[in-house]
Amino acid sequence: MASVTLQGLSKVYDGSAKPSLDHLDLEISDGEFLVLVGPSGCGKSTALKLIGGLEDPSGGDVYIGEQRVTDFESRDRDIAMVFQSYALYPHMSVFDNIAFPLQIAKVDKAEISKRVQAVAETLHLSAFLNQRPGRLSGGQRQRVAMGRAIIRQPSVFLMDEPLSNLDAKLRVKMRSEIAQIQRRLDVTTIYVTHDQVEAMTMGDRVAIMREGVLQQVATPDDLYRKPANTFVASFIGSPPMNLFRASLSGTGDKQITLGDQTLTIAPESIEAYPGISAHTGDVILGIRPEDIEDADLSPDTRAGDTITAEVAHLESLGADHMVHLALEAEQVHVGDQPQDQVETPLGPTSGGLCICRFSPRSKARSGDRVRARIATDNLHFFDPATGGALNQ
Amino acid sequence: MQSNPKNRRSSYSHLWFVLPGLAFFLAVMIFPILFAFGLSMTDWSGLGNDVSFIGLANYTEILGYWPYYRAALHNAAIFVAILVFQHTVGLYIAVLLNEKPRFMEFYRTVLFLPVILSLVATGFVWTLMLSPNIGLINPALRSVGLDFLALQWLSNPTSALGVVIAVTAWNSLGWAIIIYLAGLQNVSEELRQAAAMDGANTRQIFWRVTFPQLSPAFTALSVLTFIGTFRTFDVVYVLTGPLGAPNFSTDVLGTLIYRTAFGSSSFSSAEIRFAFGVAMALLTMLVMAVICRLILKVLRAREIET
Amino acid sequence: MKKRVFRSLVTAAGLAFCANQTLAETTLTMWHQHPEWKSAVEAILDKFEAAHPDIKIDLEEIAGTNYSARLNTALAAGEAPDLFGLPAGPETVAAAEAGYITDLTGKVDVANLRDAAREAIETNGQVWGVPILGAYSVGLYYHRDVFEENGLTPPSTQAEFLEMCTTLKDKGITPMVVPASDGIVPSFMYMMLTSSVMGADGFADLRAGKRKFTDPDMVDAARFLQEIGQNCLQPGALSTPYVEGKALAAMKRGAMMPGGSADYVGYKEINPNVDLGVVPFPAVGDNAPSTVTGLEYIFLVNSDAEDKDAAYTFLNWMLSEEAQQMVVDTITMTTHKDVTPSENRILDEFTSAAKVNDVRVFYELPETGNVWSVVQQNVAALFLGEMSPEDFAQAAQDAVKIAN
Repeated sequence: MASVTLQGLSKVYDGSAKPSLDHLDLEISDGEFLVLVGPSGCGKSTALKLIGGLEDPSGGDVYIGEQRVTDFESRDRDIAMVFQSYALYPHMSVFDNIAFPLQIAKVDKAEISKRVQAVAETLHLSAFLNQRPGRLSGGQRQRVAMGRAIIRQPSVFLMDEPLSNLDAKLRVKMRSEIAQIQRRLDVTTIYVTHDQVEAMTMGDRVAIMREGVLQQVATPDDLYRKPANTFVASFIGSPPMNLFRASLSGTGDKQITLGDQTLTIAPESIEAYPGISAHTGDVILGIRPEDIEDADLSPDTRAGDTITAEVAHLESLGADHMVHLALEAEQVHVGDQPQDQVETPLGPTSGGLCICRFSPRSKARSGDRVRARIATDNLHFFDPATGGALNQ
Repeated sequence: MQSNPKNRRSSYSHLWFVLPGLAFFLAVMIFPILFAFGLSMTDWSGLGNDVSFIGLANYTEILGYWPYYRAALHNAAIFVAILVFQHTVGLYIAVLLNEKPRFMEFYRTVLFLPVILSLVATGFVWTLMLSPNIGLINPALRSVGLDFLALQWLSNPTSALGVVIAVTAWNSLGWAIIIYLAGLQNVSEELRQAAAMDGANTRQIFWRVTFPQLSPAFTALSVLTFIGTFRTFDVVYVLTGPLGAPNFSTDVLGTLIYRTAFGSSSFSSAEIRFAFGVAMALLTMLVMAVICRLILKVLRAREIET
Repeated sequence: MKKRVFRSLVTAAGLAFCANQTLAETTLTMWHQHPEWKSAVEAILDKFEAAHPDIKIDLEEIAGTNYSARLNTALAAGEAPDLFGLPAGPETVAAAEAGYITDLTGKVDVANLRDAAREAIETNGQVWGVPILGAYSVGLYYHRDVFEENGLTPPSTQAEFLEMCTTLKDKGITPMVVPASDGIVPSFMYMMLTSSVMGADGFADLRAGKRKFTDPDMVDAARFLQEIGQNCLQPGALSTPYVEGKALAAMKRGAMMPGGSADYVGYKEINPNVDLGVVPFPAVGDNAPSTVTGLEYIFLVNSDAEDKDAAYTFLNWMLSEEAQQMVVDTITMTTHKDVTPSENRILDEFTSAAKVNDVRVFYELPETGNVWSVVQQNVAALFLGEMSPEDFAQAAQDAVKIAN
């Protein structure tokens, strides 16, 4: 059992101008389940490989516990890894696959057998011990890979998108299985995924990466409630947070103007984003779809917390009605790349689409002009130049 | 059968698609083999119309024809030596190249070049280099103090077969490398990383994880080597002539069959026995096919299913 | 059979086409096995074509041992050229018996051939081929300048030869170059050595079964051959191919080499400054030395040839004084009675070498046709000491087929 500390960990691949991983500082405490998440190419897998010693860093250090392991071979780091492809040895039986780390470590045969049986039991693999991995289903292979990782009782687990090859249903099942196993074994785990749902549901903390740079590391709740920038805001949450160009005005009672409609900002929002109190003019306003409701269903609407717009498009999911409102406001899109932060200019006919999560009781239909109530106590504000949250 | 004549007709219609290939195969494989088999049951010398049917007499004669065994033994010696060479040196070089060293393309080209070059041409260059009179190899050996190695390479019955093996090894190394390299490139990087994670050192990773994945390459190479070395002809013909000089110490099945069917002298065809040569060729083919089957059976059983 | 029918159809069509042509022209294809004579032979063919503008000769040279393999295959497949060379004697008779060649009796004029040559090409009064490219004798070439520098005279006996062998080796000179890889040159040496023991009459006796290679004095020939093979040759003789041997000899990498009268053209081509002399090959013991003589490949007319008359015209022209004078002046000895070399010291030396003892090459005679191959295949074993001279002689004797 050990903590993992990354200090200024960097990696520049040969022939590439930009670093794949740019000065990553991260502390993962003993027994913690940390998820590294981000779009492909964000450097999360690179970080994992550097921690595992599969690649050499261009700079920075890796500590496991108090021990600096930057120059250690993989086999000397006391780490186990589960690969995206499972990387099972096709020529060995399930038993030998799981036993392999112990065989290499020249553990006594009887002991190996005992431990493999125990692990197989936990993972419901006892019936398949004599089979080759080629005969197993995806989920079974996944469990064999887990078995091989846990049998050695390492200090740290590394998991590289272990569920991405499974179908959606199985993924949900394995998600909780892995989380349970981790909790039971209480082994420090670093888990890489590109799936925000996995990140939010599994991790004690989630580290969001983009372009080799760490954006924010926090608990899932904090990420959702207090995104550090527009990237995190739009990455976490489904559908993503609506981002629009808006204009701040007023000094005491703050107002925000979105297109030609104005909202009064509730004090809770000002408290969460103290940066706006001194700020006037352009900002990026963020509203989560779940913070917008059909005003007809909310009896106590006040002035300054509703907007009126036409329903451009409606998706019924049964439990929710996802309503796309056509707002005459400049929408901000955040892509995977920093330069992807583009603003759709406001044309005479086009505007931004604001996604709202209406209750299924809402009577709003495509083409209707509706009044939507916005939770003004839960607004998010970002610097239009940097995309950073105005929370200081 | 009666109930569904339509179905039955359609089940044979696919044969029409096979017909062109089948016709070609019959014309260039089956017919010549049958024709050769017919010929092998005669005493035709290769010249003239003096032919009589002698049944399997040629085959029974081969069974007691010691030059045939001598030649086969030489083939076997070449096979074993080349097999060992390819599975050691070839594999080792393939592993080195798989590490993607600088100038990898260059090494790969250089090592594969002998395979592309005509053995008749390169073999001739080898004879020139090995010549004790005009060759480069002996002076080179002497200049580095290895005088005792400056032998009459091809004139000594013991070293001549060694030279044939060495030239064959040089010539076929490229195959071994390419086949193993292809096999190595199919072994996923993650598998090796997983083994490293599991605590294996480089050697353990190679022997316990990488090498078992190479068994299809091992099988393919072993079979190709078997076939290649048992039908070798050009190296011997160019290096030591149709007589497998000196004193038949490099005589292989290829040269023996050639000599028997076509003769080795421009002055006399008295020794030519075409039908007997054909019988030797066919018997060799049959025995090789059986051995190939056995090799495949044994090696395939060891391969992994994925 | 089908092939013949097809061919005749093609021929008929071809003739119909040709009838419209004002000048009918025949092309005769021809194969022989001496690429090194190319320019000399082409000069002769040019002369012929100038004299017979309606006939063209299309010559292809195929070297060494490939020749018989290719020719035999082509003959069996019915694709052999109109004219091709084969050794006189058993090889020609076999081709005749196989129906591959045309009976030339009465079609070609052999009246001007020397007796020995005519004898060699006549089988039971029939003529199947003619020696248009002459004949050859085999003796011992030596570098006159090397001998002069070292104060030596060419050896004529076994003792002299072996002594000279030691002398030359002591001086760091390779005594003799022999390409033994294919066994052909050593085979000629064995013929010359045994001939020195038995002479021409003894050879007749041998063919009649009255003399044997295993007679004690004949075994001495094998023993001498073994001594030469083990002590007097260039390094790596057993793996020296014919071409390399010839080059080594021409480049003075040895003092002597056995060779035929036709080889001189080749030596001269490799080394224009070569200064060679010829003597008969040293004799076994105290016997008189002997040369061996044979016809160069004689030329036969394919029985499938389309225009046989053109072929006869060509062969007859080749046998004429004009053509034979060119053969003798540029290639080798002639078989024409009235033709003598204009000026050819080497041929003169061969002629005088052959004066004492001259025996026909074994392979031209039916009884000893097989001896050639057997000697050729066993000579490496003899040189390596893996076969005793007695066993070697026995193997040669076993190959003799005595006519009943």
